[in-house]
Amino acid sequence: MQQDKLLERILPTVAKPGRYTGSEWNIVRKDWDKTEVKFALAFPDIYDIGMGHLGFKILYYILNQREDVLAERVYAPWVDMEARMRESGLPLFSLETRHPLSQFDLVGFTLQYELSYTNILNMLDLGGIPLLASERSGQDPFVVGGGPCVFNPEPLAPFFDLFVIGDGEEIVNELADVYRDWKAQGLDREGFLLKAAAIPGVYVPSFYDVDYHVDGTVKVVKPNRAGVPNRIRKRVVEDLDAAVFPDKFVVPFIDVVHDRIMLEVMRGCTRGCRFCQAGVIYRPVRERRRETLLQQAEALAASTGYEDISLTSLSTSDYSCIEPLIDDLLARYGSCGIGLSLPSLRLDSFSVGLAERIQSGRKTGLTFAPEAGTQRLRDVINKNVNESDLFSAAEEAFAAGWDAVKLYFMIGLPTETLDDVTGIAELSRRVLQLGRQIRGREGKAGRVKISVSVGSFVPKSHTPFQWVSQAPLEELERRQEHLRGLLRDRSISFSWTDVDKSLLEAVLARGDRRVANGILRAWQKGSRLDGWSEHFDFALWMEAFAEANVDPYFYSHRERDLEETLPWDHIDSGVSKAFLAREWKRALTGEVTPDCRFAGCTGCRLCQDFGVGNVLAGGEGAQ
Amino acid sequence: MKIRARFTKQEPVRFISHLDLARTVERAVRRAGLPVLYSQGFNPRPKIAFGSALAVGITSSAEYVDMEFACEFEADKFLKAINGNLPSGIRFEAAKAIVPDAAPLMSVIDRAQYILTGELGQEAGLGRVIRQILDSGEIWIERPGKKQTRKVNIRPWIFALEVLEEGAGAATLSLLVQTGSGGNVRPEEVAAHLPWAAGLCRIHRSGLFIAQGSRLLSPLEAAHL
Repeated sequence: MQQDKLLERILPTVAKPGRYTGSEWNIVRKDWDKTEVKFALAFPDIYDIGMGHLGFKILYYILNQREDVLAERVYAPWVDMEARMRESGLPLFSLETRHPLSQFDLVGFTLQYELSYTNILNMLDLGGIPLLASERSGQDPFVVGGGPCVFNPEPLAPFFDLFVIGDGEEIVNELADVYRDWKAQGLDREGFLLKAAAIPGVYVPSFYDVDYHVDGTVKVVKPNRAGVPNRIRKRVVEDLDAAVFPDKFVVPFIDVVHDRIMLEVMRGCTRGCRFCQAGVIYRPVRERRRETLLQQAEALAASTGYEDISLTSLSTSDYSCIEPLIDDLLARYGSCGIGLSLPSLRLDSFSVGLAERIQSGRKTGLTFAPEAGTQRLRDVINKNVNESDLFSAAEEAFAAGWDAVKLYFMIGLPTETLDDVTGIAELSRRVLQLGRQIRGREGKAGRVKISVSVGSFVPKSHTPFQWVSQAPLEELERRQEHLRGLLRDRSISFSWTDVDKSLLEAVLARGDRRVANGILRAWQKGSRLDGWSEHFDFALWMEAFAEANVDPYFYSHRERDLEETLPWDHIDSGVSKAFLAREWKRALTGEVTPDCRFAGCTGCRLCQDFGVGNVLAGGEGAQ
Repeated sequence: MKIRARFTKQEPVRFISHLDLARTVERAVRRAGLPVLYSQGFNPRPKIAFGSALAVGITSSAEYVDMEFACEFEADKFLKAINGNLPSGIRFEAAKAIVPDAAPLMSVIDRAQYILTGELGQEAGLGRVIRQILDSGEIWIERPGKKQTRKVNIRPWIFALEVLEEGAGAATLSLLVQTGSGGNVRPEEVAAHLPWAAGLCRIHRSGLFIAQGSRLLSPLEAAHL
């Protein structure tokens, strides 16, 4: 093939050509001409990042299990490859059969983080697909979006034919069915979209009009034709234990993130941290049974040959059967050279105990996330941990032989004062002190290292903080500077995030449809790979917003009225706006709200309205 | 038991690095359920040791690896098990049991043979260029290092360079060079002196050897050493 020849010339000239060659173990290659529905799973970042995404592993497996569907992977090229592709006219292609993106029927992008948005435009352009849904016709694919960011899809609305809201396991099959039937009937594009819009959880943005008030706020988002819902309810897989989970992962050749067996022990978290969008949109909590997870581990260990198993979820130490599960996995795999890891640990000594059990030998760093520096502010954000939790966890860790502890905080949280920022430094220094004291008993006080990592708070849709203004950039910088001064110590390393990036995230996270023009302009001006510091160009984005008549601060730095119609109000996460407003008011008075798994219903409405509930494998606390 | 094996690295995996290849083989061994031994210590590693690393982009029909296992089994069984678990492009073609204290591949391999193939440039004069290379006492090339670029004379390490086939504006050459810690020539360093069209040729490693006087032994033949 012409394309293969081109590629052979290009590959020796780019970094990590293994990103583009495919042919990995467990890859699924089907007969292109004989398969009815061709689905591209497009990850809007490079291979090294996208290959670690569990959601696409699940969808790849589900779709490829069907005889009438093929699913192939597509990733964003790195800048060197993009330049070669544009020079030589090589279109963006799938890794399985090297078909250009434009030849697929459905192109599904997962929206994992806002700073990947320009990559979507770049991939559509490189793949030969018109950027605007309104400009697509005839043989052009339908462009589909899913993932967490679709809970406010509006800034991307013009670029997508449709979005799927919520868990993807079931809806992806329904979408493929509708596509296959539509293709057989030979209807027009709108015919497909109408049929798709009838699937619960599908949002076709072109079927909705947005009206604005003179002050620029949204007046109403309403359907512009009959038969489409006023609000789109997210899909929920009620029984995660029975949901399809792959028994094979594609095993990459090159080094990628999360390159290991991932067992999703549960989905959802009801701890109720008020800044956390995932804690809302992935509700309710649904755990898998231990037996199911052990079977999945067995199948994946045999099919992948991986050397690590990771137990993933939003908060793995909350999994009700975590101790017996870890014991079983260690007993089964400890002697086969397969290790175990827990990516997200709650801040308490129980969790450190778990980490201790799975860590044989070298103690790499432990990460804790107190999020805020004072108890007052931790109560505001409903992070239900206190100082004694932190110190007992740290004490346990140092006593068990850990030298390095990483602490994660945010600055710019609602109601934050300079005292709260000072609290971050004080807490960090006390942990350091504790470490020196405990490790000092073995003469190892000098080895203790504390890494303090400080992010800037970005208000997200569907959270109790969805109405607040982001802290002014100068203020965020001043607080970073303040911390830098307080944390000067050779045993403490301090890192922070770029406030400009946080501002852009804030604009994209809570933008409306008009923000799309800014994204388009930014891409036209050369923005891409914005998540990569070496490519992020804030000035370019600001120029783009100005040229597109988008005021970024209207979205990032405006306190919204509780009564305001928000651009994402028509996307129904199941958690009611009234509950979020109540939580916001409780935040202001520092009132905490308990976890509904353990303390009874807190009234978010999801279970009642959607007819679902928390599912705990261990039984205790289950309702 | 210790097994020494020869394998190929062909399309479509010629673009993966040596580290990636090593990881891929390790995972194939685990998938195959072969009882590989692990090192002791903080970070247990499978006892799998490769010979000379192959540069990205070069294919090979002569890669070698030693592996240690917890029990005895036939070499054929090993080949069958591992070949059923490898991605396309990597294939094990020969294996044999070797003495447990056999010298590591890395320390004994000292010759590498390559096949260079490509289209020739306009004013080729291939024979003349080869004669020039072989007649010269010194060929200095620059090797960029982390801190500074080093100048190296590779001529003493080029043992043979001959035309296997020439015609229709293309040629196939065979190259034999020194490799390993006692002196090393990268094939592209020699290829760069040849008159390829657009400076491009395909490189294939066809053999790795251990020099015994005037004889070249393959690592499988020399497994008793």
